[in-house]
Amino acid sequence: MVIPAEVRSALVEHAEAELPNEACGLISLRNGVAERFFPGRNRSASPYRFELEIDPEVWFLEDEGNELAVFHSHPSSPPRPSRTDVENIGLWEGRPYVILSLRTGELAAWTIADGSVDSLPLS
Amino acid sequence: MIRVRIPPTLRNEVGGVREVEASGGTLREVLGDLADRFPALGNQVLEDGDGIAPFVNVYLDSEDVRTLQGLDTPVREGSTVILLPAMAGGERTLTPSLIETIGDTPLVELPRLAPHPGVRLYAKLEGQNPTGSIKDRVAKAMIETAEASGELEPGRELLEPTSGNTGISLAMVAKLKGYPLTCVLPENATSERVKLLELYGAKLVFSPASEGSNGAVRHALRLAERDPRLFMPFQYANEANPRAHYEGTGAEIADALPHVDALVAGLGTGGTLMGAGDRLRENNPDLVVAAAEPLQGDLVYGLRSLADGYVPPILDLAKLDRKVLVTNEESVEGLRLLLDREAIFAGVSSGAVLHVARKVAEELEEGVVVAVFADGGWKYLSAEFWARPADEVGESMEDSVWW
Repeated sequence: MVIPAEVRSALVEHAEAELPNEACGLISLRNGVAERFFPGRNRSASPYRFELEIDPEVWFLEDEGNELAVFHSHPSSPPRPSRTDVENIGLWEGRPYVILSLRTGELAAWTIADGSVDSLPLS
Repeated sequence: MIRVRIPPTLRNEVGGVREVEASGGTLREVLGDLADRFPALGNQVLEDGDGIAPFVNVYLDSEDVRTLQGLDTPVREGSTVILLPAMAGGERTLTPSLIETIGDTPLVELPRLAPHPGVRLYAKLEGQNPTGSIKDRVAKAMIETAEASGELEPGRELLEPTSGNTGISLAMVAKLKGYPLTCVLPENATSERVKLLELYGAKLVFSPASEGSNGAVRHALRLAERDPRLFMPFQYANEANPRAHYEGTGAEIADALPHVDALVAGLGTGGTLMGAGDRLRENNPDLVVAAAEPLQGDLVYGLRSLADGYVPPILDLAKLDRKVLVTNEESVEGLRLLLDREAIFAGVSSGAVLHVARKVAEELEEGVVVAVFADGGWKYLSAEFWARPADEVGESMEDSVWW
């Protein structure tokens, strides 16, 4: 997965704006390259949890040849899926899952399936 | 017809198409129609046939149905229903406050205590709450309900007549939320309770021993009348008490066990029996709600006999299918059985509840019986319930105010 600088900046900007709470949204990609970030609303409004609320149409961008990645921020821990993330992966099993750590500034991509977490190469 | 848009993540369940048609006058009927025609989709979208699954969001004409009437939302002809993945998570499994650890207690099977193989006996271990009793749920619910209604705000003080678990739970929640707490208790309340209340920072006011618990209630009411800063949650008449058990204890049991034949709990305020009973009756209208009640004059910890003269306003006796009187000796025997057979170190009222649960279970040919054990054994260690002869312990219990 490639996340160009401008998309990364959009992720960081949204994540910082949502502090102290976690931020979330969807990233649309084409051929593995992120094109645009769609900020969502964290319905939980919590520093420890997120619940993504977003314009339903964004979920259907895949019909136009885009792929989607779910994004959320970790305000104070590393960008690795937590147990809560793994338990709540639901229908997004095996699909791209991007986490930004605001503590370290690291961005990381993962897939989560059957309770196990795999790293996706990210540049 | 209703148009139903299917997200890419659910299309395998409908043969790959982007949308399907369905019919129905409510969202429940529309999703039911879909589930009939596409069972795999139904499994993903509906939970237990009567709820939206946790990993799915449903929109009706661009509005999240959770902000409408959920499955009861009316659906007009020509509307569009959109199914979407529901994404949630969170960075840590750390807990922001001890208050957040209240509830979600274990429901443990007691195979060594089931009277025969046709019946499965389960125990809800409420001693696993942060202060060690079921009353943490009640304290949290009463305080947060009063805060939400504006009745309780910074600057006010809490007052409750209690020498038992409720005082300890209120003391914990009040400390974390910054409210001073005064507990009114009979002067012969057990020393462990008094010490614990003091340790948690509660102020103690003693009422005459001869007047028992009812005397403490009267005294607290007088204090509350004199000082408008005092807010008295009063668990016996506070609807937040049964609601905590409807939304918490009962819902947790219903999540784990889709069908329960009998629910057994101790009769204190009636909150557990009413709230959890109502919730479980929704899944099984024939549920038997059985109360473990101490014999008149026998003051089992945490339980009280209605014959002793006080019926809490939140207790609707018509909703109790069984009331079984339990002696102190039977409670102590129950406690010992729990420890001997299942390694569960429980409080005295749990011994009484086990006694009744086994009695109810014996009468069933088959089924599921859930017993709610209100607290752990720690606060009762000095009474030596586990070591002394049961009849001797039973007699000695009559010397103290246990309620």
